[in-house]
Amino acid sequence: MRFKADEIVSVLTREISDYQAKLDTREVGKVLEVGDGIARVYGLSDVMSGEMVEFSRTGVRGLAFNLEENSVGVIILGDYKAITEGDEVRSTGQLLQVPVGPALIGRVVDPLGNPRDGKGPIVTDRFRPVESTAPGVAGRQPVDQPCQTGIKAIDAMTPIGRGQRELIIGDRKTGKTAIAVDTIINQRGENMICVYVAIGQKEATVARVVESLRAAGAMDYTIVVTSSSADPAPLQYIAPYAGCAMAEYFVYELGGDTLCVYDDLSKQAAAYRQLSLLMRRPPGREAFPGDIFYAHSRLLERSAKLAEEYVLVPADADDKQVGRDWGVTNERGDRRGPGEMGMVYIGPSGKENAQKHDLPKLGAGFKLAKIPGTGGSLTALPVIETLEGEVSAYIPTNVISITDGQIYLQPALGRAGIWPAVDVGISVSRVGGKAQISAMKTIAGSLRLDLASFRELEAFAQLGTELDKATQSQLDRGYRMVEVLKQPQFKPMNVLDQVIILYAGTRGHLDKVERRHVQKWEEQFLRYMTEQQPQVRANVKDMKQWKKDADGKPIHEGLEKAIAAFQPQFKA
Amino acid sequence: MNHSGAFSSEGSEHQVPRVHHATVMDVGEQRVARVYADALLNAAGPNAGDVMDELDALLSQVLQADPRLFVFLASAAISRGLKAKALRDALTGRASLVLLNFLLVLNDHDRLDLLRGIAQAGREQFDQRSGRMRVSVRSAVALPDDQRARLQQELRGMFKREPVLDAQVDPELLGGLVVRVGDWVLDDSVRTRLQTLCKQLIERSSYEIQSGRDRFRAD
Repeated sequence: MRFKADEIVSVLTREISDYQAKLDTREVGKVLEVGDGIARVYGLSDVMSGEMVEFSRTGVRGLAFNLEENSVGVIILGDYKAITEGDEVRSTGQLLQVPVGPALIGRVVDPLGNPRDGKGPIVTDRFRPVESTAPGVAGRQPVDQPCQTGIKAIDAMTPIGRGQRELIIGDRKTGKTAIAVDTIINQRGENMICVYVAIGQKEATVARVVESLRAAGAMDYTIVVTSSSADPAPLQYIAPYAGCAMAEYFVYELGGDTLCVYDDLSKQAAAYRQLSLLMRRPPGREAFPGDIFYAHSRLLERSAKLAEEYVLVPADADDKQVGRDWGVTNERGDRRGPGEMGMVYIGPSGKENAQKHDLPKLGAGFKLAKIPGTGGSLTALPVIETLEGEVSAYIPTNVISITDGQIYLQPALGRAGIWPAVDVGISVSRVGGKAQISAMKTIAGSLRLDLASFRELEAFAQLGTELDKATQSQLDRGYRMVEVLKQPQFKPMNVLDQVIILYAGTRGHLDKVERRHVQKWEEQFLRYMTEQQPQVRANVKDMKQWKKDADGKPIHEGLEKAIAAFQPQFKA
Repeated sequence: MNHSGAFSSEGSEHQVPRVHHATVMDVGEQRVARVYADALLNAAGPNAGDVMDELDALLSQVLQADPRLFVFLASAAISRGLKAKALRDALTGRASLVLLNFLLVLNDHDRLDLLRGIAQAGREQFDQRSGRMRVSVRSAVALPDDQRARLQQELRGMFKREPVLDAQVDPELLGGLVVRVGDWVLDDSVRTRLQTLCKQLIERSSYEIQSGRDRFRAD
């Protein structure tokens, strides 16, 4: 490629002639001591806590962290080895911020938004502060839309909703990252922007994750923020906040749905502990600083389902253009007069009020329109690594108490060949149930209890006692359900397929299939349904097709017929 | 008992006083120094300016000239009586009574080692009390008197205090001025302007290239 020299010259000429020399005013300080990612600075008497500062000679950024009587403790976000005693530090008057915007999608960046993937600079003129306050009560609405992970064991028994915070917790090598990555892969076509934040991991691991996301086509809607274990602790500490800010752009400015994976917060806590100890903040339990809970709670509190906002507008108004000032009703729901502000209806209760009371008052010719850009969501999947299954350690208990549920992974299940190694007994989701699609809710309602009683029976059966027929059949059903819930990595499954196969399992259609053939049966049956019974497959969502049988268990006639037709075709 | 040659040549001849470097400081020491400086200014009353000048002269002309004198005063190994006698012999009639008494008080409290810190803190306190401020001005060429007066007037307007200029010439600035008041730096030097312009040009052109690569393509 050759460059057009005159075009470049014209850009530069314009820039030079437009250059306005401004008096450069700055508050400065001097580095007293530096080491291990922190610096102590004398001066900067008017600096704010959390303000970004710059080391003039090297251009490295820092963050005012500790304001003390005679000095300022600064955490250095970059190469601290080049900074020496006596260097000038200047304040910037800005809080720490990162570049945001669609330009970041598909990129791998560091926590300051600098590219790490060698694909050139990121061109964006939008920035957001790394630390921002979470939306308040009025700005939120209950979680009501599902965020499908594509994993049967999770979507059926610990469903996650958009705006929820679901912790993934387990020992090393239990498949925590695999669940997070599968969830990202499953968001293809779901209109969801994903942010994967890797904190304190090996570069090789991050490279592998990026590669698997790319191979699955997930980088089209994913941003990867990475601060590896080779990066200084300050960068590891701010990484999740930076990733969250990048997601918040899509939530607040475009009203979109986003998913943030923080992998993992135990490493972030360790980085924060290192900083705090170097800053001589008093250590508490496990030497973590006193505000370690707040470090995690303020991060996870930023995940939310934002309230949708509505206005009543004339029926011929363009829905995509509707603004807050378009409302035709006033505070009391009557027609608004000249000079009056229009009424904005917030959240589900506002919507109901508008539909049931105010819209009929106005008469025909009006409609309720959602304001575009409202009602976004930020779903968080924080990851915590435990040591030897110790969930009562400090950081795990903290994060368990902050989140809306947890997916607990057991190494023993993995060793027994059950992947994903989700322990359904102690995994919970406190709000996701509302977000489950109705068909799944119908099918999965009793699944957790059935599995629990199966586990109990299984332990009993190992004693070698003679079993009656009913018990034996319950055991057989349980073994097959365990097989059904197994799922390989990188194979997230559509929710309709999940409902269909869980239905087949819970209704006992697999009881006659040998245990080792269950997965093959599943594969062939799902292919059969997609290729030969697409109508029935689509109907699964329709709740009118679901009936109750004599025992009060849900039954779907179309599915029953399809299974009966498929059974003879199964080739083991 | 010196093992390292480089160290012994300095260390054995005479004890070098502790380095007072702009980036080495002791917070506790500074706090104590401020208290003594305050007391000295109060005791001196209207003559505070003269006493501070005297103290500065003592430090810069006598103690600076022979560092061993400072070691003598700061050392805890020498008795207070001996030091008091030396101070009286040396300064009676030569320094003001207030300063001499102050030095004797410091001696009684074993605080003579803080003398430098006290002088600095006293200078700051005195400037503050008399509504003055120290301003360091760096310029590429020496400032003519009229510009100096204009600068002083500008600074007076900006900070509402009487500026005391400490002018230095720094040819590396190429042109313009760098004014420093406390922690604030007002930089209007040609060097900084060129650096900013350079940075802006790079940012701008990479932005333009990235946002519309085709524009710059010749074929």
